Amino acid sequence: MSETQERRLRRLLALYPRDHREAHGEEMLGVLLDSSPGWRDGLNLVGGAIALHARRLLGLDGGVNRRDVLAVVGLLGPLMILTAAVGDLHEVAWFTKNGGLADMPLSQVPDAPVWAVWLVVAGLVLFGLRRTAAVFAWLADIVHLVIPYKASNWTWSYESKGWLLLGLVTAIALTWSAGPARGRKLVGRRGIVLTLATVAVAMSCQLFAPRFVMIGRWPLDMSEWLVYLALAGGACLACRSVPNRRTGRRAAFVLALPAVAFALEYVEVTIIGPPLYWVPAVEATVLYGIPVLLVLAGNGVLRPIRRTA
Amino acid sequence: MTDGALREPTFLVLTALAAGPRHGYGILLEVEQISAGRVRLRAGTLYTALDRLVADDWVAVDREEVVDGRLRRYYRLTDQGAARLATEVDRMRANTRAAETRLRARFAGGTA
Repeated sequence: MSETQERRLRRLLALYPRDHREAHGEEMLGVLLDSSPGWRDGLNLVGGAIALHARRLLGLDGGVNRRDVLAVVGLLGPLMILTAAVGDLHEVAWFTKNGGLADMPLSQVPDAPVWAVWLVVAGLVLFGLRRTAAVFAWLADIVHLVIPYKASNWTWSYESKGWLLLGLVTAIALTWSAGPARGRKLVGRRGIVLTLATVAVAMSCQLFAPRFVMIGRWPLDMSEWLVYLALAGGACLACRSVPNRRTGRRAAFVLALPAVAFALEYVEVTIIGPPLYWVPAVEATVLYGIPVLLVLAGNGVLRPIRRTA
Repeated sequence: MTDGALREPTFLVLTALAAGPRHGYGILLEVEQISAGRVRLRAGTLYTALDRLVADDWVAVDREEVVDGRLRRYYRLTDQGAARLATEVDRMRANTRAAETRLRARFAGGTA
């Protein structure tokens, strides 16, 4: 075995996930050196690396505790959702500034009841009242679903869809997980403080960041992108203190669902454009189907893949 | 744990470990021998399978040795893995028996 061949094998082994490389890299090299590898072995190594990355990505390797993921989401989800109230706060601030708050029509803030209920849920989870919080979370989701039929001037937007998805997952988490008390043990006070800071930063981005800029030929709402970047970054930071890193990463991913829906909507509307996004089935798949599939896969819920071991 | 059929490489790796602990290259040789040279596993396939089997607690690391300056890790079949292999053997035996019975009837009837 020449040094060149060994270097080539090491380069291929470098494609493997870091934990696997550290645990088995030298061992695999030894096996390869014993078996006089050819080009098929090289291809086989690449295939193995892809398979292991996919297993890590989809959480099929048993490293994710789904109950803990839901416990963290049950605690931090209601706090994160408060970010979505910024639109209504902006309206209230504008009318207050112009001295017309008393005359502000309620149609300016049609979704205010949703965020008001989520504010109650946030308070309840901080006091560890899981069951009551679950009831209010479902109530908030129902109100969220009913609003478009009751408020004639309010239409679904990508933001609302992302927040509704997170709201539904949070209600499920509060109903069927160990609850916010367990979540608090996992993320600690630091996780809660970081989440609240994330909400504050994301709201500030929405209110104060510059609006439209052109990236090439595509318009970009800078303030919205900053909101969702802050959300995704804050979710990662808040979940970093979860002892099991994979569980923490999955929880962060679920909390960042509105950012996923936002990015998908941007691709669908701005880049792909009509007529594709006019088709309701396409829109539902992009905005609901893909994020839900990612969450299920990311948390190892789609386990039949594993059962064919 | 599941009742689904095992893929052939998984079945052969478990079978290779049934007689006792083996290191990676030893498993490759054993699989080739068990399958009478029909199946030749490669390192990428073997370690992808081992990653899954260890995560499922069907296989565990038995011991490690350093030979010629290189790490050699031995793997063993766990009780859970042995039970899974036994289930698979029973399933295959039942299928084989059913196939044999039908083939015997077919040949006896002279329709072959």
